[in-house]
Amino acid sequence: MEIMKRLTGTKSIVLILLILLIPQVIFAETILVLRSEGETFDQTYKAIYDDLHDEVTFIEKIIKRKTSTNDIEQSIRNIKPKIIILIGNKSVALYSSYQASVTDKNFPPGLALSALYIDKQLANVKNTSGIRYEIPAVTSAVQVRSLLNKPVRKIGVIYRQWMSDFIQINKDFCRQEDIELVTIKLENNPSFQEVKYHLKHLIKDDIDALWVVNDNILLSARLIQNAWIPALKNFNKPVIVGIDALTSTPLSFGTFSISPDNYALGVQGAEMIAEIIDNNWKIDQPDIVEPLSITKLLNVKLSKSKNIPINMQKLDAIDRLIQ
Amino acid sequence: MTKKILHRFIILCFLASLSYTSAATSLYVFFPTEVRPKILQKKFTKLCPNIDTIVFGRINDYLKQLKIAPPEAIISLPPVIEKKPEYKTLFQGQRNGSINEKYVLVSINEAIKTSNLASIKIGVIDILGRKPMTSYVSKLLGSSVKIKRVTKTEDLLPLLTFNIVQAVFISESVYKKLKQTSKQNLISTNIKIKLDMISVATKTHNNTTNLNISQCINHLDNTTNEILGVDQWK
Repeated sequence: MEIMKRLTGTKSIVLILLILLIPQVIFAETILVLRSEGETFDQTYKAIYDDLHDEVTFIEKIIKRKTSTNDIEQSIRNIKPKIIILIGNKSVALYSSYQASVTDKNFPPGLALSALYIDKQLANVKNTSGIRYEIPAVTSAVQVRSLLNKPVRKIGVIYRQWMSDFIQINKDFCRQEDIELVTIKLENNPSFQEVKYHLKHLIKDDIDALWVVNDNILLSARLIQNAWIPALKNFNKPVIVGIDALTSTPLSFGTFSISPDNYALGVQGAEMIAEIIDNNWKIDQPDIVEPLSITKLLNVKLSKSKNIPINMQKLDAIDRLIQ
Repeated sequence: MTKKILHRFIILCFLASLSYTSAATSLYVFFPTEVRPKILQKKFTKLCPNIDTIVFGRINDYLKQLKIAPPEAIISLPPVIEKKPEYKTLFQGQRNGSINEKYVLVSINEAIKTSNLASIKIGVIDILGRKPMTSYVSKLLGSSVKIKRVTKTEDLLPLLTFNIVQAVFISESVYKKLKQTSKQNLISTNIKIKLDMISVATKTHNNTTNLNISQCINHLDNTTNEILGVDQWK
């Protein structure tokens, strides 16, 4: 009290503010979020923040083209985060380079999400778990099966060689749901003639639907135009894609688009972060898990034109319809 | 006596007519289901035109909006409504004459040993938020459990398929739907828990709100009630 009396009005206000704020600054643990810009990443981060903001302090750093490993190092040195969250491929790649560049290999636990083919990206990243961004075939297959008025037993897919592990995992999951994934493996650099030939061969194999994997080579503009569109012209069964644009454009390509629910992905991530917190801010064994939640887009117009038997009573469970 | 009732009715009608000219009664509906919130909201807007209805599919959105602008009425599951003691139940949903339904633990291939709950992960549909949901489920199951929350009922199956949890804690009606969707060997474990179905609550002592909401509930059609998991309101 004696000290307080000696202080002037302004000084005492500052002191009171400091007393109020310091405990939070000192005791609130910090999570560093390295993320790319974009609406989808915003949604994922928003969900994580919504879930955990009253337990930890979040510091967000947007990764731009100019952001370097030095910037990451500086942020980590200044913030001393207890956990690092990586959202988007750029963030994961940059953080991977940062880990490779420093001599002190004691990294805080991390979680990577919203990044494509994360298994390969995280192979060299230490102490970091992840959630895959690709929706497993079984999730899409079960959704399509419940939407159709006919059985779905066989689903076809073509893929490039480097995706073999991913496809094998998906085969196993599909088997659990009594669905056979009929696969055709292509070389890593297939020509459009090869893709077209194998696609035509695949759709003759009595499949009930076609699953199109997200692969920027297989789905290049050239291949879509010269292989996919002509091969699928007379294929009157569901074509499941992972990019809304392939369903919503007048390409007559995807009938059904299944993509990650970015907010729900954040909730799933928040659960994993909470587990790290509950485990005394440690990851015992880094793990990479499947995403749980999806958004669904159905091109009703295209489905009708192909006489695909849609159960109209199920449309209330679809996020977006193209009529 | 009859005169008194008539008098009250006239007053209520007068108050209700005032509500048409002033701000409409606000209603929040929070009930995770496979039907998309915007579809359910369209149904409410059509069936209850004098009610400003917002339908939420996610607990975080509901809680945020509740803080910003508390509504005059809420439709949700009892544990959600109980978090706001100023709201009192006006109608209780029923199905087949019962106000509650059985909850079960559903797993793949093997039943769950109830003596072992603390060592497994259990999937749930989030209706309360992370910490309150953990406490709520732990209390119900009589054991401190680790939960994994999902925002939509359709996300329960992937939790089991990808072995992220060993069981999901769901109502029997959700279990039936799950069995229709999946060809996996889903097994339910009876845990002797019954929970009340969805209910309607309003802020106390507001006759206009109560009348408007009552009219709305009476106008709900079979399809909307089915989405809400009930066939009658009492």
